[in-house]
Amino acid sequence: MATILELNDIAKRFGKLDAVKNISLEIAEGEIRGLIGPNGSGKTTIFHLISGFEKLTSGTVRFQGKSLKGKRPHQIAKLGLVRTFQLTSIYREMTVRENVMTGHHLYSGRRGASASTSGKLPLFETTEESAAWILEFMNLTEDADKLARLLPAGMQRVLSIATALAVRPEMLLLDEPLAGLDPTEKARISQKIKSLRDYGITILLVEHDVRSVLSICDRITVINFGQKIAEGTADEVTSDPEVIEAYLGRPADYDA
Amino acid sequence: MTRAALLSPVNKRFIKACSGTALVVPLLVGLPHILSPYWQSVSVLFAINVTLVLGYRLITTMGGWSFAHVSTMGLGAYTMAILTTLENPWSFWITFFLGPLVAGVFALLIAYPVLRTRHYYFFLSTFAAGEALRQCYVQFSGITGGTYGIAFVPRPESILGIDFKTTTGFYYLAMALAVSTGLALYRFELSRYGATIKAVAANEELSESNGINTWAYRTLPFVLGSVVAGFAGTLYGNFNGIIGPSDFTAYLMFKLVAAAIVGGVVTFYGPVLGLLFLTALEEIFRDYTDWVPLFWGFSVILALLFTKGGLESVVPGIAARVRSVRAERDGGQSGQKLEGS
Amino acid sequence: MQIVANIVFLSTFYVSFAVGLALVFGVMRTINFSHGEFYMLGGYALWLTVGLLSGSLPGALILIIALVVGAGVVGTLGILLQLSIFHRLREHPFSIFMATLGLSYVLQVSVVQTIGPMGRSIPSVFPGFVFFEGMILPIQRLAVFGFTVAMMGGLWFFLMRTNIGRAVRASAQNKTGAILQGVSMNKVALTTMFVGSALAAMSGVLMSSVLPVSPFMGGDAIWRAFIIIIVGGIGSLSGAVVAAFMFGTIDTLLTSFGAGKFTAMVDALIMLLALSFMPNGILGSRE
Repeated sequence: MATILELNDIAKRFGKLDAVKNISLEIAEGEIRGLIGPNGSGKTTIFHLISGFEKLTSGTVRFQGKSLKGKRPHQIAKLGLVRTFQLTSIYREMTVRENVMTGHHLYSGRRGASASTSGKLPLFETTEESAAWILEFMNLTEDADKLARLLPAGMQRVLSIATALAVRPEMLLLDEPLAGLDPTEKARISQKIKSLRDYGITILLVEHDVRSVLSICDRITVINFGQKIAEGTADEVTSDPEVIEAYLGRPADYDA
Repeated sequence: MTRAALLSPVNKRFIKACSGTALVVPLLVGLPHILSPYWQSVSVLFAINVTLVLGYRLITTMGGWSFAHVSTMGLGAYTMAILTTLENPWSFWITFFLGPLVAGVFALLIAYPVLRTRHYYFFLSTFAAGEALRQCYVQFSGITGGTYGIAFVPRPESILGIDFKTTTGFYYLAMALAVSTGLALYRFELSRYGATIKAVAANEELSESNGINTWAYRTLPFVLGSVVAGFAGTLYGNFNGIIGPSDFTAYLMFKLVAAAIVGGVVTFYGPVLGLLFLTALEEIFRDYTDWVPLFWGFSVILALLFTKGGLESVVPGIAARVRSVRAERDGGQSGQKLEGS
Repeated sequence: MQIVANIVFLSTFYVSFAVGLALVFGVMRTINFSHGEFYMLGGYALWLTVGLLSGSLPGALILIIALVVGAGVVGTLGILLQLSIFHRLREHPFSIFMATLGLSYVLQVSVVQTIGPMGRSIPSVFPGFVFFEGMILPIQRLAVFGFTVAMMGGLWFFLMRTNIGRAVRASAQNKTGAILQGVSMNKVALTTMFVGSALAAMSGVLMSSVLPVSPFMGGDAIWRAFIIIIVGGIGSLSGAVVAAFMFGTIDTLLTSFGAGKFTAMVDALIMLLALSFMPNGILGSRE
């Protein structure tokens, strides 16, 4: 499968702190990749670097072969690389539906999908229909006319994923999509994330719930202190001694 | 445009606003005939201020409270005054469009540094930029007449048989500007552009990652609002026949800001209500003009302390709708009594 | 050499005026627009004190009394401001800012109506000159310089060495952390408002001994304080000091080369340039 996202020896320095150092990785189209590591290991910084919210100190990021150097976040989103945020980012005073509609910005005002990238999800004639489909897909139809601010935290997170889908991604960067959800919801959203693969959407996700990561992801990259310490399938990673030492501990210590 | 597009929800609301305006226009047209010359003057200035405050509100929709608005208006006034008092004077009507253009270009020029700031810093940086511009009016006396300004500015040449040398004639011009600005800006606000501007103001980071060019959608209302100020400026400078740097001070700027605070900025006409209130105060205390800023200052403080969002939330009928919007704002992530946290 | 003296005088004035504003912003996360009017009230405190006590007491004592009265009265005003407006609107810092804008006009008009709109010069408390190294140094200005330095020293001591001062600094750096450490936010807020406002007033007392006092002197000076704290950096006291010296130098040089009327424009341009390249100011931290 073709490589969709390529990080070449990227680094980010804040003053004297090397938040991220010598990270290289390749993600294949259609893959679901997990990015795990202890708190402060640099996972969110990597997201910021990929999505254009932070400038690389060195190294390059290539998406679909194109360098993302100097591109602003909205330009990167337009290319089809869309992210969510660790601290849930929603339009608090808009309804759920309005949130998703706003995500359609790049594709509204035009008939259908005559935009720069059609993405992977089904296309519709109008943004209203597209939004309705996305809401249904994420099980938000019931809450569609509720004010986003009034949703429970977990549902707000689901909403932020739905809004990201509206931007018609080829690839999603999900920053802790399962945080704040109860086990049933976690299982359901994990399922949803996996099903996005059926539409050909590549996913890179950061998560603390290691068990979920192991079940959702095809491959996992482990980060500590801004550097990659392991990469591979769930089995490979969980048996890597360095990973066990840095992060996983004994099996009984798994995040529930 | 298809029939469906013409009758879209947005256009329906706009048509409603137009019809409402159409009902009011005859009243406005008839007004000068029952007013004394003094009150006609007051109405002219009020109409110009309405235009000014509508432009100001546009800027607040992107979350910024600018303090350069009045100085920018001065660019419109000075452009008009300089060109219509030349040896071979230009026609007012050309300057009527040139002035706003100059104002818009200025806004575009300072947009880069100033829009990098947010909230207070935006206020402060526009404050300083506006003050610097005003200093230019004072210092480049060769062009601007320095502290004495420019006098003998001629009234516009007559069109449609209206004589603008009379206050009544000028009143029609000022009202026409105010009404058309109001309708145009209202339509803009209802449009996709208006909605996107508000989305960017609500959550800039999220909007950016949704593919919205947040820079463009913050610059646009800033420049447009300044263009509107430019239009108001050409009339403002022309009406008095004489302009100088002292016409564009913090005093007038404070009046605009106070109007927006006291009236509220959630609804389109909130600041106009606020302006009405402040102008009423000004006229009631006509014999104590020195006290007026104090009353305005108190109005601002009281409005912030005791109302949920200015006068617009006090007007019955609208009250409920605004209150619910406000309730959603307060305590929320960007929950503020004023836009921009 | 005269220029160096002038630079020092102007810079220390800018520091004394801006630092109170920066302190309030750093701790309260909001800007007191009426800071200029507090400064103005300090100026009138000197005018009153000199008017009442001139001739009956030595100059230094008059100045000190004015400083104490100014600091006390205006500091109390700051506390009232905190209790009435700042506390009530504490969830909406921008609203506080707007309220203080309204307050500044209230104060201005009040002074105009009670005392009168005309500016007045206050006769020198320390008349005379000192000649040194080819410089002509008015003793009054030397006194102002001396008192300003003492004031800044006092502030430094307060922030660095007293418990409440440390609490104030801690709150400016990390509010949540400070609360968790048991710092009383209420006490910190009241103290900060008192100190910040008192600083403004004392700055006004000192400056009015060399410049005319008028109800509008605050409004004239405040925008420069804004430029200083913008360029100096978000809530950074040391940044404000550095920026104050920078502008003190630039403004003095401009004036001595006959371009004094361009200081406003140049200062604003520098601010715009600084914002273009360093939106967080010289020493500002990311918010």
